[in-house]
Amino acid sequence: MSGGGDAIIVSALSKTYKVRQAWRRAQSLRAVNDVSFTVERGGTYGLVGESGSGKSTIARILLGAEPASAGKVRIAGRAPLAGGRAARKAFHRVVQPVLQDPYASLSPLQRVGRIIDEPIRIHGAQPRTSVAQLLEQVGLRADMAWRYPHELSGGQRQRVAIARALGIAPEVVILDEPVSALDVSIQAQILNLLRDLQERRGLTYLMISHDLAVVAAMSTRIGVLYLGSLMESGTRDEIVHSARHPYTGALIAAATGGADFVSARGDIPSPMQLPPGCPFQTRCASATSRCAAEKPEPRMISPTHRIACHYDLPPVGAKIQGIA
Amino acid sequence: MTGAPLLEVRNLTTSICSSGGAVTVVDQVSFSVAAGRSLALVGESGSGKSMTCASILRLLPPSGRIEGGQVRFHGQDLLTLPEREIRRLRGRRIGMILQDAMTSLNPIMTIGDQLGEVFRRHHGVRDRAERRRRAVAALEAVEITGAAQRLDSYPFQLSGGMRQRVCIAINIACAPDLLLCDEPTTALDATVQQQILGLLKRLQRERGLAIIFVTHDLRLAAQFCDEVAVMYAGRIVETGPIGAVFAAPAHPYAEGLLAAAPELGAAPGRLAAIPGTPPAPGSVPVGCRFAPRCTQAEAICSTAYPDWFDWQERSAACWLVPKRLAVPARVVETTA
Amino acid sequence: MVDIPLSGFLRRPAEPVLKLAPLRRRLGAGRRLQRGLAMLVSVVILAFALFGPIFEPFDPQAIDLSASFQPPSAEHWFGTDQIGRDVLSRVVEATRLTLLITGCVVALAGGLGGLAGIGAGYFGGALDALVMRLADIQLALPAIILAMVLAGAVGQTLPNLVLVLTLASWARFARVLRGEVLSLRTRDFILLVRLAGASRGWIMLRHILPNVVGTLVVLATIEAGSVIVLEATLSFLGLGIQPPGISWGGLIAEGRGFLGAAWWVCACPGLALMLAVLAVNLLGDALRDRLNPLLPSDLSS
Repeated sequence: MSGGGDAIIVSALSKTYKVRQAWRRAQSLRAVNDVSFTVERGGTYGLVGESGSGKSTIARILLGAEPASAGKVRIAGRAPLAGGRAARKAFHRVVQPVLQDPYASLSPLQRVGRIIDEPIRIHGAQPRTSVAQLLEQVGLRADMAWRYPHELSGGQRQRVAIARALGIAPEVVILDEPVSALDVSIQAQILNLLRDLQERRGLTYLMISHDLAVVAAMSTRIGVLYLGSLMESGTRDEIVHSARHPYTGALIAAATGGADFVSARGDIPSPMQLPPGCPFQTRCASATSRCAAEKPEPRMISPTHRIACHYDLPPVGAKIQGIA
Repeated sequence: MTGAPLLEVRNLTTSICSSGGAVTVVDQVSFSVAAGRSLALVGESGSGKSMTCASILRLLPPSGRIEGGQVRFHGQDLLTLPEREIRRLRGRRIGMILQDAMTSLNPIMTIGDQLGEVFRRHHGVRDRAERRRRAVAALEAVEITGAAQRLDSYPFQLSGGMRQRVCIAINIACAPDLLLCDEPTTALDATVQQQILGLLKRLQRERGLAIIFVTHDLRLAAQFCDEVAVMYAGRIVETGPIGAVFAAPAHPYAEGLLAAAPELGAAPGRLAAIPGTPPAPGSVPVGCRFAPRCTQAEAICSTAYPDWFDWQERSAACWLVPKRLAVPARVVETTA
Repeated sequence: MVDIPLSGFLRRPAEPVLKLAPLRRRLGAGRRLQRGLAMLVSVVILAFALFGPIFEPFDPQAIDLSASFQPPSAEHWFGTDQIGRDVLSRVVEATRLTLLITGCVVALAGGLGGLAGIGAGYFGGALDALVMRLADIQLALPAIILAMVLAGAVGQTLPNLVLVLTLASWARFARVLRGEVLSLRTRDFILLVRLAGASRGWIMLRHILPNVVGTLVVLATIEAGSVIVLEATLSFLGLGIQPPGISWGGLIAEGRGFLGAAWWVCACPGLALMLAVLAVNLLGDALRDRLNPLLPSDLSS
């Protein structure tokens, strides 16, 4: 167990890819641009963004699947991809993923029981909880251990993926769109399960989704990503009920379908051709020439609420249920 | 307020041949849509909503087969029409928009050419310049800026939202009476989704289109449609005006579906999940198909399939309707 | 259950199914018949190979000039050749040698080629480039040229024949398996095992190899057909099995001159060759149908 403090620390994280298309010169794709946030131990941080926002890239960097181009990442005090093989293996014990596609996450040739205890076998650890107990904790019958993945439904497979992630008792779980591929009624079951497991084991979650409603249901703090930059971040209530950034407003409009919010115009630009200045200015209803010329620096408008916008626009937010 | 139904589906039943025999995926489905109105077909995986759409246009996979029922379009039963006649209806009187716009478009033809093809085939426009002119007009009708330049783009050069707009443009170029939309916005980003829905709504108003909107998202349906039909395990379980159903769902499944979806305005906490999973199409339980998962099920629910109750323009197939809603409900039909 | 997306099957409109059903049933029966035949012929060939002499009514080398050019009869089912040797016995004897060679070649080419392909796909980089260039070279050279060059260089012996055939066949295995491994590498479950801390060796042994074994087996069965034909071609040209060794290609070459007068000397080995290749191909098809459903296609939309 590493020292106290935040479970996840991300500071000035950037990631640039060099993309070469056949006959053209290599272009650089800034997938992540100077992103910083922290997640306290036992909390849930929700990262919401649409396509091209860089959220999956951030997940991969935090998991140690890819190196960052710049910036600092600490998960439970450790840096991913630092040190030799042993250090990296130890890092993987601390943070585990749950990914989007339940049909691709499980090896088709192994039985469920073997899939779940594979991380335990890799680390040669003595499992604290047996496979049967893990299955029970994720709401499956113990005899499921003998089945093959193709015999299970999407929701059941996702439960198996969660059981596998928890087998080696990580401190942090990175959830990259964990319920997007599931039906609504199953989504709710899985989200409830994740909530229960977090309470029981004191896990720290990074919840990544394109669906603001899902993120809002699970997170204590939320960050809004657009084209690789954090547009706004704050506590859940601040984001949901008094968002100050126009992009967050557009997401709220999309999630509630209300006519009172101004939606975003046009399409999301390609990350390879980032707009100059503020990334959102091409679609923002309140954009000015300053927005196109100058990229806004993030500033705090409250001890917990940070936005990257030149202007102080009035807050927007979803109506609190029950109040007209 | 509703006019005569443009499309009337009665007891439509479709099955799919699999290795285990014929499996019924659409079971005695009945609904109707009037001109200028939109109906949402809401259900989860395996509910049969996509197959219902396919059955209307008789575009089933080779292993699929329409077992019975009627699909009356302008009074004519589509299921008994010869193949030649149905082909003339497809695209011209009844359009279809699918989920994945990328695979709906020909990747090696420019947008202009694909639109031009519609004008050539359906309107007999021989002049190339005239086709181009109409293509530009069609793109502008779907709110694509810089339409003249876009004509020479290929589908891969456009974003997802743009591609879906092009698909819509191709569909409405023939001025159809009915548009079938199968999850047209599911694959799009949230902000783009709103734009496409707004576009569809505007087009519907301007052209008096009837729309059948298939989706798994009841809230999305509420934003967009006038009426809703909720499907479960191949059958329709509830119909009615969207506002009324949304405010006070009659069928426990519809109620569960609404409660399970996370809502932005609600306080954070556990979601009201529906326990269990939907039945596989080949193995539906006796009695009400939702009974095994229903928290309010009674003894009769697992022995006899519910009658279809009807009140105030709404209807639902649930034994508990008279009790739950305290309304005098007329039994429309006793289902076998 | 995954809802079938509409776009997946809008390929052609449904025809009245009533007409199609009986046809489909007949096709199903035909397929079963094919499989049955394939199994039968394969078993026969295997029996010949393992217990050859039992099936040979006469000594394949026994010369009987008085009985030369006998047409197929009750005594000599395939007739006799120009010096009175029983053609049936010679065909059966040829089976043994052919199968031995084919077995060795497929095992070697499959093993070495497969390993090369898996290594190229998994490790990438310089190894990948090297293996692929070598494969390109092999695929560009016709096996005949290769055989002639090697025969000239090292002489025509049985091990050399196996060597030549292996060199002429490994690239196909390498290419296909490299492709399989490349697509496997990007799959989520491999990433997840890597993120659980597995070493490359662990992933290779426990995940990559088991997932490509199916493809390897199917490919080996199908390639066996090609190897049989290749060996027959080489023997036909005189570059393969030399007399007194007997092979189908050699038999066909021998009987070529007598096609007009004594067609059975050439035709019967040809028939045997054709049946063997057909059986092996059908077997490969059946194996592929069997094994592939367990290997997942991309169900994710």
